[in-house]
Amino acid sequence: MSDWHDELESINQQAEALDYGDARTALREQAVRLADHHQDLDAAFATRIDFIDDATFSGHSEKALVAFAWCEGQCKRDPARFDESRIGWSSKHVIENVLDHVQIPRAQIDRVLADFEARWQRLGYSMRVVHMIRLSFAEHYGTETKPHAEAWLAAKRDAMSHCRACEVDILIGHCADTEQHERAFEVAAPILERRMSCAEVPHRTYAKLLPSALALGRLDDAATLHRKGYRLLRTGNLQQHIAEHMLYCARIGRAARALDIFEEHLPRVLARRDAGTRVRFLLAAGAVLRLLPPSRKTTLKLRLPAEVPVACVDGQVERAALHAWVQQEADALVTRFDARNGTDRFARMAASHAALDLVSASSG
Amino acid sequence: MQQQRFQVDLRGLITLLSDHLYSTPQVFVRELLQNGIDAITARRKLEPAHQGSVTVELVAQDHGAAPALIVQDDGIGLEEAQVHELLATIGQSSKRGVPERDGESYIGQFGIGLLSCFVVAEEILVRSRALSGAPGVEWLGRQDGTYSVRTLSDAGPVGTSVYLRARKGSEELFEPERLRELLVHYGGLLPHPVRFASGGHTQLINEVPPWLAKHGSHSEARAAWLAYGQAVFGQPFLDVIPLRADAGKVSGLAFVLSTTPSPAARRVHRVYLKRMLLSEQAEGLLPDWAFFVRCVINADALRPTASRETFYDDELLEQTRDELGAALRNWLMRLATEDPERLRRLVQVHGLSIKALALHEDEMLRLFAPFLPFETTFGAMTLADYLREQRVVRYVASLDEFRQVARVARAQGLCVINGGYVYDAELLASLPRAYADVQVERVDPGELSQSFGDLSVDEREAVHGFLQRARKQLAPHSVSVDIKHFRPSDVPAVYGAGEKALGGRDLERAKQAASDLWSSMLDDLSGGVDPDQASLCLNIDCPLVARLIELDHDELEALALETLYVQTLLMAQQPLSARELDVLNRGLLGLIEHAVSKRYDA
Repeated sequence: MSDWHDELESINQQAEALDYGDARTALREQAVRLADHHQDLDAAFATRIDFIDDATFSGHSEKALVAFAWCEGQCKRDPARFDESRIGWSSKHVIENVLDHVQIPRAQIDRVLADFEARWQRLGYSMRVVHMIRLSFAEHYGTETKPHAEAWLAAKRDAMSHCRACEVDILIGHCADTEQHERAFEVAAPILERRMSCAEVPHRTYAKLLPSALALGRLDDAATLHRKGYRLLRTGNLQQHIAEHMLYCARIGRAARALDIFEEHLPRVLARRDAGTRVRFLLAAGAVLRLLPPSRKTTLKLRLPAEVPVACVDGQVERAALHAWVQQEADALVTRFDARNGTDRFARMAASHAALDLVSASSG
Repeated sequence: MQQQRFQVDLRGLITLLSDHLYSTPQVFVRELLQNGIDAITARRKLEPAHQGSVTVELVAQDHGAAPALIVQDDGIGLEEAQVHELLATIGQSSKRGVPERDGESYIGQFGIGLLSCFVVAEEILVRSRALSGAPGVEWLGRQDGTYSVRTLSDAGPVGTSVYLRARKGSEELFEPERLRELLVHYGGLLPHPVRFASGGHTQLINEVPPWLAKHGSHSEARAAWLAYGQAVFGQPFLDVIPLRADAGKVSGLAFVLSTTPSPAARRVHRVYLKRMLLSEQAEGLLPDWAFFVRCVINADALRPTASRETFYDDELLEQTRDELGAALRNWLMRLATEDPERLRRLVQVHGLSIKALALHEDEMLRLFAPFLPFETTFGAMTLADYLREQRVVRYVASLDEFRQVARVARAQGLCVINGGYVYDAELLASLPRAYADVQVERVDPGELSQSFGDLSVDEREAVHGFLQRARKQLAPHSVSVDIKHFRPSDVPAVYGAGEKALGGRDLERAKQAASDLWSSMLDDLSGGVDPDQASLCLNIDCPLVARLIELDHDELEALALETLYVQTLLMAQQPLSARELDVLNRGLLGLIEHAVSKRYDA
């Protein structure tokens, strides 16, 4: 075994010892480049398969996509050496996040989804995953979700299905999306009782249930969901779910905490390349700033990342200017997503954010 | 004597308990001790002067009969009415499936505790005399669900005795040495004396928790605690930190691991509830960043879960976690001012944990930054060392970038930090949050050449035509070309590519390998925006470059330029794309051919 194989092994071990995050992604990226440098196709393939997982769970789905494209190409070119089944699992990660990249046109996404479905059929897997992905696409587009949800739950589970905790979590999202709030809580029972969990559940589940808890006036439950859920998300990579916690705090009148969350997570959201996370965060931030209690001060003390073009003097930011920037960025992304999707789901989402009000303790 | 039947399906309940509630049958030892201690606590509420003790006696049986156990306490005792209440508790437990202990009466808890004994015993005999002076009572319960109760006529001491006979298959738990271990395991820190009698010997099982014991001096305490930690966890520790939290009424010791743990490893601790061992696998007691310690902790006010093997994740636990985190932080802060040498040793082993912590907490960043070790173009140094020499903190964000710049930066006298190690780049970027006066600059390898020496006007005149040709020649590789003065003069050229340019190279390699569908996906992903250009800076001080400029042979110049470009990529350990490999092959062959034909011409 040559020196560089040892080095590769050592980098991989270091990466695997870390939680998902920038550090782990950077290490594995280094491993991929090392394998490429030495033109070892087998090592480059295997390392990329691991890298796709790392990048996906670390909030770098664009990097996962690049690595996947390379692997898919190898499978096509030399199917005897690189069996297509080796990219089955990775292809789920890639397809699930593709919509978050607003620059990818709808027609291209349709082709990729068809390609995914064809692969699933070729490999003889249950169509359960395909229906589940169609459901999540329909939720993203704001089109009819019911048939996909039914087909998903009717299809049989197999080894390529998402884990049970993830499936239940997705079902909760579907319930919330269709305003079946009571049912969302019923479905969530095994997760809330910790009889089911995985790397990302219950982390994202708590966030998904927050709007339902508020809609039902279950404020005590909401407080628990926030307390347990935010801690799990705070240092992780699931920035796309931070928005719900920030919004929850603003809506129950914990404005200062909402601003803390905004300040802490804005840099990491802006550092991400996927517009999907950004638009959700900024829509929520717009509502947070709108719902701030009235004050004689026109400024807020905030530390903003350099890419925010709002003047910051002695750590003070003009409240109106910040709000205007957040709103403008969010609106621009809403327009782009709707234009790409050919639907009005993001405009509707923006309108519902604009209509959100404080939750009074007496409601529900 | 009345023969009665409980209104419960005991067998089903026992199966439920052993399969679902308790992780191991040995917890019956804990439950018996707990019953005794609870009874003493209840009695001390009425008679504060009462000391109270528990005796566990093992009665080995001859002629092959199963061994038996007697657990005796001098606590508050039971009246007959309470014995019936106890049975009601057992009945209730069965109806609800999983017994809840929290907030229930002593009697209720006693009942549930007894249940666990059925996992190891065929029958249980309880004899008790209450402090109230009521007549003594005896209860005999059997696994088949029958029981009998009778009143005792003889006057005995106040308190309760429980007699168990080992069930077939459970004898192992009744062996003297095994039982003693279990008693120490669960009850080693209990607040009232626990004695174990076996084979004519009696010994004390428990001691005062080391962190509550009196020590002559601080260093004496530290030595004693470290020895205790080693005994408990079977490994030596680097240091020990006393912990306290008012929330949950928690106290204990945190032992600093002497080797670097994996940050992803589970952080499990040994926890006691009211000084009874609750779990050796407790999680969630300390903040996530505290993965460099293992703790022994006693909580007097946290809520255990039904299985009594961990704590409920409620608000109180959260407050406790915050307070314990604060205790760790304060200790570290004191160390920084009082004993920097010890802190330095700690940072050596736990740099990674500390970096993870500093990343999310500005206060920690301020405190630890000076102690953190970094790799620089001038070797390893702490940030404090670095700042003694440098006014601006310069770093590159990845190992790839460091490889590109290290040699040349060193030659220019530039001290650049390698931010490619875990957390380093993120940490350095956040330095200004903690130190308002420290300037931090991320070095983009593509811009490193801007600090090199400019050409004179005459030199510029001389290389102008060559430079234009070089730019045109290398344009297909998305690289900008420049000529400057820099050291060392044996380096003909440096390649500079920042994070975005490297990402662009990754994308390009993927595109060349990808199928049509995915290749066009990648075009969409990059959104038509050209990636940042990498740069190639030729060194006019290098004799090879000087000769190349004067070559006056277009074909050879083109070959040499392209080959030099790819060779520079290789020096920077960059993976080559298919096109670059092709260039390398053509270039090498062309140069060889030229060299060979030249020799024959001559």
